[in-house]
Amino acid sequence: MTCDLSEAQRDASERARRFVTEAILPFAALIDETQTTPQHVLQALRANSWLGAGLPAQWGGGELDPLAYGLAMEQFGWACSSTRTLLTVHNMTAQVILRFGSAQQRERWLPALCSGEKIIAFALTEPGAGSDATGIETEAQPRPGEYRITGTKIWCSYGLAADLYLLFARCEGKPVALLVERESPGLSVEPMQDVFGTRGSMLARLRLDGVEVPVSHRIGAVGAGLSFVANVALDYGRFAVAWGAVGIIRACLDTCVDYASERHQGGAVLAQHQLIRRQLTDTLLAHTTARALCLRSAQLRMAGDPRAASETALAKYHASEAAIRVANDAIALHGANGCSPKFPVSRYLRDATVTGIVEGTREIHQIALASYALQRPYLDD
Amino acid sequence: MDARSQIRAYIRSKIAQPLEDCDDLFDLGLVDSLFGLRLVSFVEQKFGITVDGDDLDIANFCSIDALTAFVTAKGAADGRV
Repeated sequence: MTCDLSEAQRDASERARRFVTEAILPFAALIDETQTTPQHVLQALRANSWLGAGLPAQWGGGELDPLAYGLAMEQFGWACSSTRTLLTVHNMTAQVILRFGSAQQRERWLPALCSGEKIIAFALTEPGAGSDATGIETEAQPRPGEYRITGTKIWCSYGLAADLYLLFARCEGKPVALLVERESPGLSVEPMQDVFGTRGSMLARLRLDGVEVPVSHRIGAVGAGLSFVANVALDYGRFAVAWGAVGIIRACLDTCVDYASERHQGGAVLAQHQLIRRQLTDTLLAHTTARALCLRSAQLRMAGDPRAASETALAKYHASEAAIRVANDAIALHGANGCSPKFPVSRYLRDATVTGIVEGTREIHQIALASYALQRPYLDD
Repeated sequence: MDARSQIRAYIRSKIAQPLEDCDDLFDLGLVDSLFGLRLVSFVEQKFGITVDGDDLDIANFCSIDALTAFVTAKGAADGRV
């Protein structure tokens, strides 16, 4: 798919490439190994205005349009999926405040979220509620002027670094979205470590024991927390994850081309062996197709097309599956070196695997997108 | 076409079963997470309105009747419908 980029979109991609090459890539292996994102990386993200990149200039954001934002996420995904995850979570959650927050919520939170002075995380998953978010058991008990929240949240990406959480609970049986501040009495934030991929994403378990939150911290009506608030955030998240997966595929392609061009076996460089050549072709095809779906998704989002959310899910499903397959092949191409921490390909596979789970698993996408297919969306083209 | 006709045509084109204007799309299990987002985008694009936090109520989106009432009231408030 061809796509003429505007000057601003091309600039966003190039700025992101320069930034991640200088400030992120040199630390990507360390972030993976130490399972944290160093303060100097967080500071560099703030100083270069990446935390608010997708938010309006009115609030201090970078005002990137969806395509420019996606192109930037591609570059971050190329360098370091953990850091890309921070931008994904922060932007998708801040977008909810931008779109559905009250005037008071916007004025209070958006300037600090755009500058990166404060980080926001998304707290939905629970020990007993993953893909079926309707099963959340965290309870928000309504009281005069406030809610009293009790429950546990897990797999909260960058929850350890966050100052604010968009948290989903059940209020008299109905889902509700609430902003919870890190310093709230009764909230404890614990690390979740030794995960398989995106190991530097500072995962947290949140325990809430009677945390009191004012009614003014609610977003949307009671009952709309999942169907609209959570789903809008997850839609933004899927878009960024899809582009991040394209970045992983690109990283695999770069690494495999380098290795196949330099490594000699059987009297010739790997690139001369027919099965390696086939793999390089398949990797290039995966990159081209995944990127084309992401470009289509971005264009539909910019047009406000009702198909955008489903096409974004389609792009995320395809790009994450392709990234997993390509990264697995990249390890094989590297032979034993593929299993060594001296080469990045094992990190690519672990990070790619996570893109196939977050913001909706592969299986959830397979089910949901079948419903979309039954609506014959291609007739609308 | 009036708002009701446009909403009815859109939803009926996406849902392969007979549907009355008063049928609750959520109670019938016809709205998954992606279709819910499409409904929001559809009314915003088609009627030039912006769905904000105060509008995020299942009661505004649960049926053709509800959507018609919502876009009519919202559009009137915005001076559009």
